[in-house]
Amino acid sequence: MLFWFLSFVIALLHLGMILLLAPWVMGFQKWLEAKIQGLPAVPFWFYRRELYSANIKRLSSFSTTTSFYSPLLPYTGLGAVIIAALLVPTFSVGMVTGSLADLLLIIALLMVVPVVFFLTALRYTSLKSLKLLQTTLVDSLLFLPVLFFIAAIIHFITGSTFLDAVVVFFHQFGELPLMAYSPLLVAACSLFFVVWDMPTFSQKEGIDGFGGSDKGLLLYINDVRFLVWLSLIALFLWPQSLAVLQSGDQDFTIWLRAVPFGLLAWVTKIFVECIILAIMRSLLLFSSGIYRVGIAVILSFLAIILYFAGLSGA
Amino acid sequence: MLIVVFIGLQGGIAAKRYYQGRALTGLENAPLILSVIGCFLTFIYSVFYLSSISLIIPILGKIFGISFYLDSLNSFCLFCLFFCGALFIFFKKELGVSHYFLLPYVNVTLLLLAGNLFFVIGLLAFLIMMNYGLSIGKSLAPFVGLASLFLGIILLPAQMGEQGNFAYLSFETIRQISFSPWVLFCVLITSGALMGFVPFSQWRMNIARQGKGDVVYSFMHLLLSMAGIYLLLRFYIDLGKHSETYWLSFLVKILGVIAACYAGWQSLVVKQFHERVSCLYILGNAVLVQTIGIVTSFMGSDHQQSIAFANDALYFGLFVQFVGFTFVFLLSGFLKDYYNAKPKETLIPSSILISLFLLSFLLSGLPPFAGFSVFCENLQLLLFMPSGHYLSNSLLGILIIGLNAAILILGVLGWIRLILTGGTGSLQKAFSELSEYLSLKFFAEVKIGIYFLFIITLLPGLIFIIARSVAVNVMGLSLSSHNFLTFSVDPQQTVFMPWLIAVLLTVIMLIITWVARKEKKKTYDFLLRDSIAQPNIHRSVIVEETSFSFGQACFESMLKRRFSLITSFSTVNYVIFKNLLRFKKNCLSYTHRLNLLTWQYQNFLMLFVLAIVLISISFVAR
Repeated sequence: MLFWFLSFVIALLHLGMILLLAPWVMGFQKWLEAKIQGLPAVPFWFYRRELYSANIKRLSSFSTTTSFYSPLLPYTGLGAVIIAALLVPTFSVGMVTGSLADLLLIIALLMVVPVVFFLTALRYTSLKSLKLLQTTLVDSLLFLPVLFFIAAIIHFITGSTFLDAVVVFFHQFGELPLMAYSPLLVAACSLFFVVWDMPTFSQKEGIDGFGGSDKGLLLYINDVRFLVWLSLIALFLWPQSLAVLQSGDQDFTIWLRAVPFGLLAWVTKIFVECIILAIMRSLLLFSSGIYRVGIAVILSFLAIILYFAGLSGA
Repeated sequence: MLIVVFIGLQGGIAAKRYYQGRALTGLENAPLILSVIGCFLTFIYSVFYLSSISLIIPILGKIFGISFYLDSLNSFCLFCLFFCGALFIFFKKELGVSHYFLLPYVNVTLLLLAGNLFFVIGLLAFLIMMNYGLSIGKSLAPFVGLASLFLGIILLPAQMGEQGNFAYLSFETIRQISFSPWVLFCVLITSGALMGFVPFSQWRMNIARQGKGDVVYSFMHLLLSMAGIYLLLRFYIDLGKHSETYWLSFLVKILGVIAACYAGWQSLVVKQFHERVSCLYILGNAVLVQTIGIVTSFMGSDHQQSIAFANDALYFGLFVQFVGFTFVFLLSGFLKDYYNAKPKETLIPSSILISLFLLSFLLSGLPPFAGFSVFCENLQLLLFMPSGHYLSNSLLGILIIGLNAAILILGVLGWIRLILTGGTGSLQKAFSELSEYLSLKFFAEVKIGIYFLFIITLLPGLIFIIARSVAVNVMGLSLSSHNFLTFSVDPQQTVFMPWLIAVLLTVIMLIITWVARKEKKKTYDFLLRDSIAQPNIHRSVIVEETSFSFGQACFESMLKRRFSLITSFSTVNYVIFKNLLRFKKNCLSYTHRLNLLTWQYQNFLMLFVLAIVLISISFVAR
């Protein structure tokens, strides 16, 4: 009972943290890039306010809209992102949702988001926004082979595609981590190319074609999606930094000791990823979409080859 | 018994007298009634499966080798066939008297029931020739299928030795022995030709046939692929169990993957709506064929505990595929009628577009719809596929996984292009018109139809996700061994127990009746003016315009009902936002100063944050 309650509380805590921090992280990312490139920057503690004051204020129109199905579309995307955020373990393993945290399911949920964005564009007469979201959709769908390769690697290494099992595996076999760890590292690096384009979503031409409430929602969904991807990369970069909570540990002082460290590690990893991404984007590495897809595919396939090389060495 | 018969007769006579019941007496309704009864009976048989039944007809069996056979595989395929047939006749009444429709229908029914190899082959030959007669494009593919089928006939009895009696070769006899893989190869070619995978003369045979967009052609398309899948299942999973099938199962997988990639690519290339539907149908079938290959590769290896899961994926996918595409074909038929009726009109009615939209969700592999569960299970199976410790096998498995990603991309893009075929403008118009459609009482049936489709698309996937978590979390089962979701598997024989579908149909019926009852009670819905963001030119019923056409009290009560939700919302909002504003006002002076401070020293702050990061890294890493 205590275990269930605490795991439930932790799940809620991490969901709330992701949902609250998403605009802040996105704002930080943009501010960091501007600082690196020497451009005038909006401070990241203004970003959230701008988002809300300009767009979310008009959310009340939802209850008065007459048609029933079409306003639900961006909310579908929001739901998909929230479920994905609930499933990805950010700082601890053993939450209530642990049995659902299949990498394939998370990938699918995150891939629904561009589809929903695209369908949302159908509500408006602006062809520019439709074109923008069509490009976004195709660009993100092209990363599917990368994601499937990563699922295959993780299944090869740990025998399962469940993220909890990945973390537990690396906690148990911490003695010789490099053999199993290096393919995971390369796979995580290939995931950086997947999130490469997300910070520029709000600056694209065509985003102005949306009405107020939908625009705000789309920006917010994009922010949450960005943070969820970053958390996923953080998990692959350093799976041992997550706290493992098992039902055997009845004494919750153990949790009180373990969870803050996991939290701290998560925040640290997000910072580091933002810095890496900002440097990559500032140097304009592989800025064209098709090159990013190609490099990501090659990297993830390289990870598979690394795995088999490690096997032959053993 | 006599009393029951008497009551039944009385009831029949009374129905005929009072309701002018053509449903009971008219001959044109017989196919519909028979399909529904057949659907019900096969469903009952599948749920309460006891044993296989074989029936040898005394005189005809001796002369022509006619015998019937029923087991779980048969009954599942028959269930799908009757379900789809009943839907076709229900939505297109004139099909009940069309012999173009009934002849292949009866033929495939007999084919699925046949328990004798020569009876099966004869019926298949008949079906293939009928297919060639109906097809527009002159293609070699039916003849290739027929030739390989006859080759199989020659090969199989020759291996049976004494048992290979040409007059009567039942499934029980074939199941006992192990025959050469060449027979299975011939069967693979035949079923590939039936499903449109075989590249002879015209790969796009099925597309050419489908190009007319006629419902009869669509049904023929459905029947042919059903026959092809039945052949594969019967020979690979049931009869050829003892044969050496490793490379053949690999061949089936590769065939499915390549055909799916090709069909997905074609679906982006072709221009006609019906051709695109046909390509997507071939894509779906190819994914299922790939799943059949995975199942057979599990059967020969040590991973037999995965068969239960594979079985779930396969049968659930077949059901979703057939029922979903029945709706798609019917909708494409409606579209054709619409175009014929109004050639100048370019916009498609929104009910059809919205239904297509939902169906595309059903079949495209997006969560949490049913197609996603099929695809996700497929991927899980690929990951569990027996790869051994050999590098080449594992790399081939990875190649197939990558091609599956390509198939998923092509499928999603193909469906999106399909719903955009009517033009972006028409889809946008459909979206804005939809509320108008739904608010009018005249379109109650459309509304119910859309609800029905929405439930069909959404529920199986949700049940899949929930049931899977329950299986792992509550029941303590591992991923590969849970089989209570839909079906259960006897290690000896494939058994289909559609508990999920039973529950699903019951729930759908309950919800439909609930919606229908609610629909009866409803009066007119009054719409309010929308926000500026949405174009609301099409709104026909707006509160201001209709205020004097009803009695004042009636109008007020309706307005009250309409506004009650909004006012309660706004009360809550008001209370929350009032306090929030007060809080903000109090905090504003401090935050202003803080912002100014951080604005001045932001470089210093950045360095500070970096230092904290470094310290925390060293602290956590210990």
